[in-house]
Amino acid sequence: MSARGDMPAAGSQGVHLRPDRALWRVGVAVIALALAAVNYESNTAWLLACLVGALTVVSGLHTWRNLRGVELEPLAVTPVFAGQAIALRVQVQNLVQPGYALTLRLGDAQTQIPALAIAAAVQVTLHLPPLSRGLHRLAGVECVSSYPLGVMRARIRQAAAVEVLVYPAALGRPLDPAAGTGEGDGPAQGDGDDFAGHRAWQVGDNQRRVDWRAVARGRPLLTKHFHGGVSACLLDWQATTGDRETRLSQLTRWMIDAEAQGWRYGLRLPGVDIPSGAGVAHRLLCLRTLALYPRAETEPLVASAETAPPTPVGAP
Amino acid sequence: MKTAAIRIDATIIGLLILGLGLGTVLLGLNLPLWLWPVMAGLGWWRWHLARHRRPPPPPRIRIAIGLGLTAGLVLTGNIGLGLEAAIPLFIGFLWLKLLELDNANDLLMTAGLGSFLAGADVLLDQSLDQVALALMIVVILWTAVVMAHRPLGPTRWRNLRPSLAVVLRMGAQALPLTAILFVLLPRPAVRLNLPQGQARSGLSDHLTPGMVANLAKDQTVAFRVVFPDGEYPRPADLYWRGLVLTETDGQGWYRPRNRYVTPGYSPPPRALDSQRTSPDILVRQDITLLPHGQNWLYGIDPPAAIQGDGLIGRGNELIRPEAVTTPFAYRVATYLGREAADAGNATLAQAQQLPDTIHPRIAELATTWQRATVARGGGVDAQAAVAAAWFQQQGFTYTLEPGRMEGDPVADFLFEQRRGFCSHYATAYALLARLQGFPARVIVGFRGGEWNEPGGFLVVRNAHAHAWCELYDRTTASWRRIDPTSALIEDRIERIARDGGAAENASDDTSWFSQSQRSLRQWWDWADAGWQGWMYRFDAGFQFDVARKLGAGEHGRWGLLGLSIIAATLTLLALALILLRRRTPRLDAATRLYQRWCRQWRRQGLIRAASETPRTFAHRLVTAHPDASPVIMRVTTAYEQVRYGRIDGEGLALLRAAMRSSGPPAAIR
Repeated sequence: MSARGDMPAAGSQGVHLRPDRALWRVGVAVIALALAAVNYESNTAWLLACLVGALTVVSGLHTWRNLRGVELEPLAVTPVFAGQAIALRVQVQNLVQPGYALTLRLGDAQTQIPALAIAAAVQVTLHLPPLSRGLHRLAGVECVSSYPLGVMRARIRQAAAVEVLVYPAALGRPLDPAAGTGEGDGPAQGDGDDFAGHRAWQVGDNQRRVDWRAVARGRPLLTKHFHGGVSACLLDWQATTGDRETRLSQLTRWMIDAEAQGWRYGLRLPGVDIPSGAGVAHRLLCLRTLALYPRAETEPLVASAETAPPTPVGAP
Repeated sequence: MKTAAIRIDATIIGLLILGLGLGTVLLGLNLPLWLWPVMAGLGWWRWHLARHRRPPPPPRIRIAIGLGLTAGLVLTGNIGLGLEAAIPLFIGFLWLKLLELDNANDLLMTAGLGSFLAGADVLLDQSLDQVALALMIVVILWTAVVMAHRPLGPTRWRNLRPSLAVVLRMGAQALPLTAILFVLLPRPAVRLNLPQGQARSGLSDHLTPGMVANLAKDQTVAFRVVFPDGEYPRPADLYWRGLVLTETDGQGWYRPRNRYVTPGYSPPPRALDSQRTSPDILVRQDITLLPHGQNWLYGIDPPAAIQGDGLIGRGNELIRPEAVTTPFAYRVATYLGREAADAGNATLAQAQQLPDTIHPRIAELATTWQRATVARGGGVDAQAAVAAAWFQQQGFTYTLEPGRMEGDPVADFLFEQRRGFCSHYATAYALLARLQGFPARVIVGFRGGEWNEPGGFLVVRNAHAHAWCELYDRTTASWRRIDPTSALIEDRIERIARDGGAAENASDDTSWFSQSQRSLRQWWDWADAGWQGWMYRFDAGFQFDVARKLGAGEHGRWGLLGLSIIAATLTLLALALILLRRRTPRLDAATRLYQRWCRQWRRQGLIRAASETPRTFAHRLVTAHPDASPVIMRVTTAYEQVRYGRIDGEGLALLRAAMRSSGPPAAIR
């Protein structure tokens, strides 16, 4: 059975209703009462047994109604490093009537929403266990509720998936400080030693270069600009050892180290060659490449996430 | 799967304690005394823990309590086979379950078993009072369950009310389904042969001085009477004859051992309708006797015939082969003023039996009475006049609390205390009459009754219990009723009839309060009578009648089962259509308020676009009316808070306040 949806969100399915496993706890009592009523020829006790039985059945309709009009929309997930917990944010909105005792879940992860007012929307976070490196699809977010009596259980399921990109875990030896080469490509990044002046702060600027003393004096955010030599390095697959995943983790570690030191860096893997660069876009490109690098040599090398074979996660 | 997280707080525990407590008190009259403090302690402990947000005690403590409880019940002999014998154990463990209540499963279990407890209350007593209380218990328990699934309300009442409303609404919606299950679902044919219930109140099969007093305050209904001819006996005639006690040991009076009908002796139950030969004195009574667990019946003295499953036994006792365990309806015909002419030799011999030892002062008194009786002519009338004169002259008084009689209770009553109630007078009188040589016996039954105006029937309560005597009049060869209690206080016959001080006071009280109270009770009695009559009439035969009318009669039980499944499904579908009909998304109060506010701007030509969020709209407003910017921002912020943040009424109040303080900006107005 499925309720006719009230403007269902894309991918959401109807309300599914089934008896909760806890129903037997009430069922046993009702049947015992009915048997006692027959034994004592007590019509009144039989009537009471019928009433409690009917009450549990009718409560199912209310359980169903409680979830009607609830819509789930999983929001985009920030990429994480392997080993980090994944926070899946889900927008839950409620169009038809107030909902109570809602449980949002995906796999083993669940979050409670005690009440959701009519026409209200909340964002809740499902904390999913860490996933391995690569691109994963999170699908099948469910909202279940056994309100009001706990004897019936209603469920709605959102089939639409969100993708989560998992970078390799940053592990291994730190980046050798000597690995950086003195000659840079130019002053573009302004990462030398000689102070050259200020420029307005932009998104992506290293915080260590913000002139905090100027800020303290009440001036706007300014980034200190330097002239001089810029260190650069090439993060090379050949320099790492171990199996494929270990090597990728090592490269990730180095990349983060290089980033922290303000170096320019390039990435070289078998079949991939990213020239030296810096900045947010460069960083994301490198991390994405590392995340999507094939798991085995036999797998084809893919350039972008769109064609990567995703691993579905969550309830089948 | 993990059980859903629910909220178990002191209020919910309190509701459960209330429900279970009511059920226990209603059922638990026979519980061992020591179990009460144990149950109260378990309840209080759980409530205390909940109030301080502490978890239930660990399993080993609960197991220890459970073992202790079982051992206690076994040692005190309170466990046995059968439903009633298992009830102390069941109730004890129900309260133990409350102690360990910690999650949704425990809560459901408690509510389910508590509903069973409520049902057990109406197993033996199907009166409307019990049903109302049982329903109350069910509502309380399930309200606690719903409450546990809802967030805490801001006040105690607003915490309770929505859950209560949900349960009542669901209960109302469950009524059609309940009716279908009740009428159509075939009762299982299994009889577990559990021992049937014992009578809890009413008269017992013997009488000792001082009995009946405990009944005087028992306002439960014993039976109801409809007079089908529309002719009512005078109040003075309302002697409801029950037991005939002929054997005495000097103190107690007992039924004779061979009291059953012997062939050719009992007047055959004649067709009552053809009997109206002298309509002035024939009174027919349609009596519905509530179960008292005994095998005798009642009728106005002297019963001439009985219709239904009853017989007239030795001594004109109305009896039934089986004990009355369900409400029992029968019709009795009485010729008022006529004396019962039952006097086989065996009966007369029994009615002259004397105890082995007799107190010398009693014997002496009997001799004095007999001398005076002979002086007055020697008949039953003379005896009664002598006795009444003596009681009045000696200053006997009527009281329900005469205190303990010492030594020989009859002698103590007659010569020392000189105060007592019907059972004292009747037993002493019957003994004295026998000593005088009159065949005499004690009759136990009821006296009087309350007229129920709305229902047009007479209610006889246990409080109306009464005892009197019958003396054999040799000249007319019939038994004469002598009520020594009413002979004593003739002018107060009505009050004596009630045999209770409480009723005596009530009848004098004509205040508005007691008047309305009495009329309320009459209406309730009427509803109760209707309910019990209906409940009683509904049986398997009625069920098959319904099935036959619906065309499933020839398939028997399976036909009924099929019918009930079809009807239940249809009912559920109809209910689902009503409950789940498509509804346009409703606007909440905050949005309505906000939209009204937006409309005020519309007059200024500032129209909020569908795609505009409240904040972007606010920016546009501020640009247009910079002077009104604090007002605009206050309302917008409050609305956002209600809509996307707080869900309770508090945020809404904030929004209202913001709008009230600002109103439509004066600059724009």
